[in-house]
Amino acid sequence: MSRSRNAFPTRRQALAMGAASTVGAFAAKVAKAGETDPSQPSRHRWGMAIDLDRCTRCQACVVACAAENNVPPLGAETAVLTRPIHWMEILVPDAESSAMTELGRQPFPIPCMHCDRPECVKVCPVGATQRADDGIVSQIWDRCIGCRYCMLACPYSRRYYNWTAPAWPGGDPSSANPDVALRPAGVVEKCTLCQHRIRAVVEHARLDGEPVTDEAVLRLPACASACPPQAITFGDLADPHSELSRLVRDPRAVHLLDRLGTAPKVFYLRTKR
Amino acid sequence: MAKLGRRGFLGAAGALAGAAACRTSRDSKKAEDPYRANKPPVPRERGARPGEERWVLTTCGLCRAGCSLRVRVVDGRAVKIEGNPESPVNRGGVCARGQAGLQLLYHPDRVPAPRRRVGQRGENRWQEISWDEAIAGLAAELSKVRAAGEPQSLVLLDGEYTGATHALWARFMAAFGSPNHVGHGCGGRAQMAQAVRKLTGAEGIASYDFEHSACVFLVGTGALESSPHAMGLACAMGRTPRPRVFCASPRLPGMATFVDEWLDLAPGTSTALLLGLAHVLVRDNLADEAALQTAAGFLPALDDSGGQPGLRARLLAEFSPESVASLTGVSAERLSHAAHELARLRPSVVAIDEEMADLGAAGAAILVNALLGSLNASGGMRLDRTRAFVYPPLQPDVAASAGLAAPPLDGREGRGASDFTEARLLALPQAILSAKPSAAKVLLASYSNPVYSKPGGTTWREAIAKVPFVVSFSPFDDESTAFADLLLPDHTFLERWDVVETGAALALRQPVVPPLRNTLSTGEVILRMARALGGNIARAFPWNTVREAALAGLSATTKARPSLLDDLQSRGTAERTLDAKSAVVVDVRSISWAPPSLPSDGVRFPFVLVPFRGPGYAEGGWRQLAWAAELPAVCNPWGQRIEISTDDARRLGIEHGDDVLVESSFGVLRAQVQVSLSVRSGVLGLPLGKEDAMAIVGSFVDEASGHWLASATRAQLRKVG
Repeated sequence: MSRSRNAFPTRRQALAMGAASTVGAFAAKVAKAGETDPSQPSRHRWGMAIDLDRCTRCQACVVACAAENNVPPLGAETAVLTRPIHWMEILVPDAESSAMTELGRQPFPIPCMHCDRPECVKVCPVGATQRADDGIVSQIWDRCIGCRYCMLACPYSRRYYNWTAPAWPGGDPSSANPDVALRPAGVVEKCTLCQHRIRAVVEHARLDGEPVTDEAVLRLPACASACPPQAITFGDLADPHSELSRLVRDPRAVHLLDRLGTAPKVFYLRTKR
Repeated sequence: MAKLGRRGFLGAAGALAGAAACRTSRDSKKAEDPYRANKPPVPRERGARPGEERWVLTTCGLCRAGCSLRVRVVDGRAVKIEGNPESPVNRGGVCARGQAGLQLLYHPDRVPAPRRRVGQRGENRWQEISWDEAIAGLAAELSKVRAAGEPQSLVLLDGEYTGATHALWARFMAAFGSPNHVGHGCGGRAQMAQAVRKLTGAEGIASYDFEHSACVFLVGTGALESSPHAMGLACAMGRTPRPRVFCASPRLPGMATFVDEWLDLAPGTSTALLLGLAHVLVRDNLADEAALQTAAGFLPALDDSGGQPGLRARLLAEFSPESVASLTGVSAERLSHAAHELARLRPSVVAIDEEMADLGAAGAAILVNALLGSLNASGGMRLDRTRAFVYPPLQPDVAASAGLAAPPLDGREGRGASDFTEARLLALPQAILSAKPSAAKVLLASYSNPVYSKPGGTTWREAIAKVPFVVSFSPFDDESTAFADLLLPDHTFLERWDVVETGAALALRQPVVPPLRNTLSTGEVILRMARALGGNIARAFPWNTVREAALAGLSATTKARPSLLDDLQSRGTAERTLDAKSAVVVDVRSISWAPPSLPSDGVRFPFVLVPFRGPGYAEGGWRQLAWAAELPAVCNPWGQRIEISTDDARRLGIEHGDDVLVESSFGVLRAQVQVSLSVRSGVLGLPLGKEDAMAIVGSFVDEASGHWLASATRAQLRKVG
């Protein structure tokens, strides 16, 4: 079996396969047009699938996320006082919480769910968090006043408050990613689905007059690209032929706390045992 | 916080420009000037345009799995580690520890330049010196030893078992005339190397082709947590359908929910368990007959020959699942079921935790794989015969010949006196302390920090203190370095050039950024040291650079495969082909299956300590890799924890999160309790990595191999307060 990172059919191939259907024909027309002007609303709806049957809980995604997004470690003293910041982490459900979710007793990686109806956005008094038209629930650190309403509102507890200024080991942030801003003390931060990476791909496609291909984004976020068993799939939910759209139709697919009506764009794949 | 006006902004920019100059007094400056706090102290590369980005192919050095990496460098600063999809080892993935590698590169504890000790040992007072001075000083000490006719009093602790630096060290020790070239490994990795040689005559150690296995039987939890085989298993789990996974171990990590079946094995009984598997395979005619036919040398050992009782009779007589069950605690039904699954789902493989095996278990694992037809077969266990680095043999001079003929300090028995595979690290501290069979005068520690990571309490500290001249090559101020007289800091793996040799591939390691500190690769130091010593030793190293020396060692490999260097340069990795299956001949007569004898003081110490390395473990400690230390789902980041079964916790009235004292006859450790459903009753899981965890673990020795029996220390638990 081929294990190349690009083992999935390209968008072009996928289009060729589905050309007979009306959806396929429509998508082909859209694809031919290339990427839209930035002043127009995005026609993408980014989302993510996490395959728990593949995941080994190795936590590579956790550190990959921190390294890409400049999430500093807390250090020995601060770590015991406050909650460490992990945009992506592995939650280990206990007996009580496992009864509440669809995933049962198994530990699972959890990034921001990027809900289509995000509770956090409703409560923010200053518009620091919003759902962009490409579906990403973003956080603008500069606007955040640190009231932490969003942290209370988020049913997935995917938001973190900077209780202290970032403490890089020895004060040396030389390995900081220049594409992501460092956060000061007093603001809330969260997973951005690595939107700086997405924007770069979309912008390149636009400049080349080409569509964004599925294989260009399949393992785009840092967590997905590090994952050894390739359990994390990223893609466009608006493209019915994307690998992600295929997975969302998988009978194993499930949303976390679906009954709350938050409509997450991150979903899990799991075999019920 | 003060307002940042335009004036203040210009001031901050000025401070950034002078960042390099400020580095030494960084901490004090930070307090005065809040705008400097998050500015990278590493200046932009000279000549680089702002924001210029490049990707460099290299190979990880945080364990010996040899995962190929792509490192993103912006403005001359390495900012992100990604996996190289071309690699057969990691297929584009990177583990949690590998991701944190940049924290090693930019760590504040790095030794800035070569140093000479000025205060007392352990006082940590140093004087920075130049490299010329440092190498001249070392060469002078070494010349003294040789002039006194005692080259054997040079001891080298070598933490690398493959690659160019290791090959150069071996050559140096031979030319200098000391048989005391000792590997840093003392656990299962060393045991496995011995078992491989004893059973098959092959060199090197085992690796596994999980990617093509349909069924994997793990003994121990290394491949689920931190061993070099973990990456291969994780990649295999991404396949559809994924392999079925069994794990036999006294404890199962709570995260390893993908393991299909856990056999809760009594500590130290893996040999019996594996021979029980072999029994079922032979009894029920499940062994791969074709493989047994091919392995011609194997059959006589299986059946009686030349008056020697064969293995078949012994397996059938002694190791029935019923009889091993009383020892292992794994029921006969579950064992038979596992054996039948291994036979049904081919290709299947038995993989033993390299960190924690004993010699018998390592041998038994090879035997079961032979019975399954999985030796050097797709989806099986791979035993390497070929080494990538081969230098032409050396003619030692008179002094060197005399030194090499002297008995090695560790009392090893091997083919030749300087037989590296047979070296016994654990015997070394006692030999140094008693000065028998001879005194150690100079100790070199390369990629090795025994005071920190080896069992036996304070013995290593005392032994190192007794050696008159100690040299450390560590890039960090670590526990062993504190006792050194001379410090010759190596580059980190992100700054040096090397060709890395693993089971599945050869991989290129190259500098991602120029050396950050005034460090020198240890290979380079060896060359310069040899030149300074002159005579026969200098003639043995006619190369000017490490790269030149490495390529000379690789010449046989490149002759067989002319495109190798081009492949390495363009793809960062080059797959190795498997030896012919028939080349592996297992001779099971050469190994003893007798279970190692364990100390027993079950009344005072009712628990058995099972030390393990968690997912963030890196030799040299947690503090270098802060991200790995703070992995969530490991309770109590930065603190010490201890795993206990739910039954034992209930019996002792201990709850999750309680503080306890863990006491063995070697010491006491304070830890936080983690109650786990997947720990065997009577067992305490002890995660290694914190400074003092190893201090309560005894250095019990497997008599058959001279190596460490990890799960042999007994302990008791007391609640604090």
